[in-house]
Amino acid sequence: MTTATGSTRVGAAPRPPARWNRRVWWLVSLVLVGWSAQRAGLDLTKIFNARGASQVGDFFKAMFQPDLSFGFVKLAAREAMVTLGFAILGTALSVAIGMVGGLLLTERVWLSVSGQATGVHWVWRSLRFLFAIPRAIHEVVFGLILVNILGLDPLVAILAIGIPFGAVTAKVFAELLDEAPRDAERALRASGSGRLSALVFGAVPYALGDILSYGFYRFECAIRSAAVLGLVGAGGLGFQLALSFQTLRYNEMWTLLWALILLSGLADRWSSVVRRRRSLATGEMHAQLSTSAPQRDPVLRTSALLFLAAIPLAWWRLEVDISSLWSSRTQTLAFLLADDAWPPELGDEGWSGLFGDTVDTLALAVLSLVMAWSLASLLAFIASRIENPWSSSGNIARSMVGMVTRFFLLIARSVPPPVWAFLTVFILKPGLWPGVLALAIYNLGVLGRLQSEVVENLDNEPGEALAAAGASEFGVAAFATVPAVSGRFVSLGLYRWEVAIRETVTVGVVGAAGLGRTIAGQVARFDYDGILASILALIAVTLMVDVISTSIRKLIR
Amino acid sequence: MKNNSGVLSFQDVSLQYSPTGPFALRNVSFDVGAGERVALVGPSGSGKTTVLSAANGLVVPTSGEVVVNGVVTADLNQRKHRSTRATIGSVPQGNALVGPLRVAHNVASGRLGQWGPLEVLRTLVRPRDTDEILAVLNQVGIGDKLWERADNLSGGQQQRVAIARTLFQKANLILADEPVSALDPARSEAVLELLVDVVSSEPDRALVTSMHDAPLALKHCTRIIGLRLGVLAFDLPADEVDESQLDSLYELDD
Repeated sequence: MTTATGSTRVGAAPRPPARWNRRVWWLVSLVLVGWSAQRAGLDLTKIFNARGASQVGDFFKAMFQPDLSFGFVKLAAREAMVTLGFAILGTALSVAIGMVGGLLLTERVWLSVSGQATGVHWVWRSLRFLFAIPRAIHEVVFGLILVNILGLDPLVAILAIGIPFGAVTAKVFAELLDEAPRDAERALRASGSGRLSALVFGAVPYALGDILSYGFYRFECAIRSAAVLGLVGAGGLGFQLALSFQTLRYNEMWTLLWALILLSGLADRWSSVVRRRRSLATGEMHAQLSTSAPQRDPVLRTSALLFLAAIPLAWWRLEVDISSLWSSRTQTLAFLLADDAWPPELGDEGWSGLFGDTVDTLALAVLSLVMAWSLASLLAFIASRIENPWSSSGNIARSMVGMVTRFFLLIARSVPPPVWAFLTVFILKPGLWPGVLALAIYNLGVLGRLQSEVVENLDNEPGEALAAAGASEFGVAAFATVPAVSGRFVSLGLYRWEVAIRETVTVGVVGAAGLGRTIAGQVARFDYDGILASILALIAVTLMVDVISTSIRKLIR
Repeated sequence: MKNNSGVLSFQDVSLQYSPTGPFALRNVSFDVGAGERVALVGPSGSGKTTVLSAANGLVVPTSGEVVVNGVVTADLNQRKHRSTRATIGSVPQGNALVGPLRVAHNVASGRLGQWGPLEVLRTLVRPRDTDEILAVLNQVGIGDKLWERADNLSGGQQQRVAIARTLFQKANLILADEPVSALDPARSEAVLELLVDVVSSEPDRALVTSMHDAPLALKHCTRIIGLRLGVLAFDLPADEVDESQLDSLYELDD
């Protein structure tokens, strides 16, 4: 041992303090997962169905033999443009809603100049609640309802994407604006400027870059949503996919899926190039203002201009006619639907039916997420684009494996969850498991990407310091990389849990389980008061998970 | 091949980061013996950090040799390289601790170079030598932070942990890259005094640090090496360096 210079107390070290918070949460999570698995059933003979395996094999064989006849490729290209158009216009709407909503949802706009809560603080609270409701409803549910009012109109997809995404965007924008420095805004308020104009002049310039780059993350999500919406009848690639899958034409399906994978891959790449220049590199997990990033970023600026230019093109290509929103037919149908829906009514099985569905939804989300998260946490390291900069053994094999993994993750998230569910029902017996597996595959694609971005954006300095002291690659990984990413992995997983609850609807519509299946059935029967009851249950469980996951995330930070 | 006199020796070292790029170092030679405290001074881009990286074997000279504790680093394979590095402690500019880990684990990580995978994992769960870790933490004055999360510490405290890590590592060559550039003047003084204490507490230790603040360098180091545009401008005992030499080092070219 080194001899000490000054006065050194040599004594026994105290034991580390126990972190009870953490232990309790781990225990709670384990119980929740165990209970969900119990709910789904653990008897293997009742889960697997070996006879369906050949169908799945046929499906994947078609992967390499897509229908490449000229007519069909042309159709796929046309429909891809439609899906792209939905995504562009839906994102544009959500950013517009987000801009306005974001200003209103900032806490500071409701505070006095000195930062005190004023008499109208309750308005802020109710606005926040109001925006939480559309956030809790999946695009597909909006789509199912809007189809019944607007018919086969591109507005269905645009609104179904724009409204819930707009509510999420507003929340994120408000968080970004609330993080901007307050001095400038305060000075403007102090010299007599109005609340909103002080915010626009004093805070928006700080956050604009991050706000725009977040818009690109929404675009990436909108492509995937547009595909799912097609499956419930909105048009585009998803709609053709539904047609081909009803007739089991796997080769046609793969032409459409490859188009979707290409579209989704390009959108993802674009979005991460834009976002990598900002602190929003890990998507929507935490809205944190990037203070060091330059405000005038040429890549961001060019991308934003390109996107703006694409809006009128998409509008023209989809022949959007906004007047159908207030045509007399729409008004009548909307009125009839609202009249039908109110008051909400329970189905034949009453409260217990609704409760059972809700619990199934929760179990479905928990199981699929735990499966996806565990595997994604491993794959994230393989898929990350960066070599260990401190290792000299960076080689071609490593980057090939990384590329293949990224491609696999891209396929997992580009193929819409209902298509995965269509495959899993071949090999798994009816119940929760087909839905669990389908959502797990999809979420693996999404989480694998987000988590590998966490790895890529890791600060290398601590690892370099360890390598400089002679640590092996394994030592660096165990002591620097894993501890640095694990906290963010957990919060990403928790964040995704909220999203997963909503996403259960996407596998429900093809009959998997939970509230989604119930809603799809009710839509087919035009049972609107039942739909409203199911939606209310869905909102309740989503808000509950939202509150739990937010408070755990705060606790473990 | 063997050079027993010194801890670190640069022999006619030139270094380019790319084959056609400019020289980051050009024919740099110096020897650092045990007990010496050497400050590398010079303007930004003069090659201070490159000297430290080359000493650590993180970059390889284009020509010339770097010798650490009698071993020429360029000929080493991966494994031998690690064992050489295990004798080199580094105190970076800051931000070099693993934030989510506790102070004890960060100090323990100094010996990663000497451990196999199992011991690494074991230590991640609970470091074995906590008494020794506590002793080195007491030596740097923050024994009470043993089980604190590293990212809850102030900048000065984090630098103390980095120094404690080199103590636990039992490194005999301590490389510090601008160790106090992120600290205020009072804390800079305290951290440098600690580094001086640590280096002089064992006769076989030597310190090589880069510093842009020349007065601080003169006060705490025994020897000053001036670098300009990758060339060694002067190499003198601290008490022989005068104002004009420093001025010519920092003057603008245009």
